[in-house]
Amino acid sequence: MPRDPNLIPVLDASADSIEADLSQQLLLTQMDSVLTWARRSSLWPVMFGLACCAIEMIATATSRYDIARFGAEVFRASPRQADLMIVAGTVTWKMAVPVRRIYLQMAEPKYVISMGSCSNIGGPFAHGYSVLPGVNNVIPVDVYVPGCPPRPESLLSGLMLLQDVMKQEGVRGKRQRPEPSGDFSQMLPPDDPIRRELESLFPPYLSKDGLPRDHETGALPQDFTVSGGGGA
Amino acid sequence: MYGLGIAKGMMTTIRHLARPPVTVQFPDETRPIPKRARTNLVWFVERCTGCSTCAQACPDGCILVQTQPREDGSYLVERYEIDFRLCMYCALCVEACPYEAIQVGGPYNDVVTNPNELYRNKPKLIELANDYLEKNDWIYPNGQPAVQQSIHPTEQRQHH
Repeated sequence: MPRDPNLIPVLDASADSIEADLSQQLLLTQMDSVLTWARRSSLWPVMFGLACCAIEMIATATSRYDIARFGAEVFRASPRQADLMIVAGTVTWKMAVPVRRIYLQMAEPKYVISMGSCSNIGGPFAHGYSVLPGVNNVIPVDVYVPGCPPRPESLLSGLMLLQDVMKQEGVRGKRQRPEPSGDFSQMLPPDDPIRRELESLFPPYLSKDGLPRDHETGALPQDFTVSGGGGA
Repeated sequence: MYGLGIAKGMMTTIRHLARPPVTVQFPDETRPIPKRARTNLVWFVERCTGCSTCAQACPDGCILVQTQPREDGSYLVERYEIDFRLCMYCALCVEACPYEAIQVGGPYNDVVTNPNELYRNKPKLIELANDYLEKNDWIYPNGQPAVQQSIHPTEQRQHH
């Protein structure tokens, strides 16, 4: 936790103030490391698999590889209870919308591992029309695990790398991963329904018809007027 | 006899109790990789003639070979790049290569936080091949001894 710079007393040469200063900082640093340790030792993944990589993800959870040794064995069926999303498999454009939606439903802090060539960059379907060229166009990715599919050891290495990243970032550190832009103009035609739905899941979270509707009721704001429509 | 089935079943349970755990403690110990497992590709520049058969065999098109003819008719491999983001580890390039310059056997745990690190150019591939040879007593993955048992400079490693 960064301290308010206004609160830092001017250090003088007396030993008292230095010790007092140090003891304060020491407490905060310890809390930080304990919180980071707790966070990275209980990464619960979403129960969520897209293609053949999911089989390898399941194999990682079996007793021979035992992902429980890293505290990540509780595959939650609800994104609300999960911290980690393992995107295991080919992300088609049609599936990109649910992937983005599940990611948005997870509670912060949330982490993403992209598993396999397909979700890294599209894999053998990279030049196809139906597959997303990398899941990082839809959700921010922390760790990339190459392979087709990756061996369970590779996924465990990815998990350990993610834990290292979490350790470095700390509790309040800035996230290093790049956020997706939400711009699909180079990939999908303008009136594509999937593109409209995907863009509605990016800030400023407009609805599918492009109007700022309420998420629950679908109602337009009171002071909203359609411009250029040539109304009554 | 009543209860015989239960006794048999309990015997199985007790046998499992005495069995050692099957878990492989991965970062500390690794399972032996099967001999023909398709792990990462290792490219050895001293075996490569620049024929680009591997690039033609690759279904993803993730291998780039750029060569220049020398005066004696052989090729100088100017660029050799593998896009491991795209690679699907089918090892068709390994089957295609007539000189076994590209072989499987590399590390399978090269996880990254920046995907562009997985695009490996010639110096990076040479570095990885050197790492492999150093770790494996200068023996190629196919069992043959390495041509030169030292760190090869980039250009002198060319096949003639």
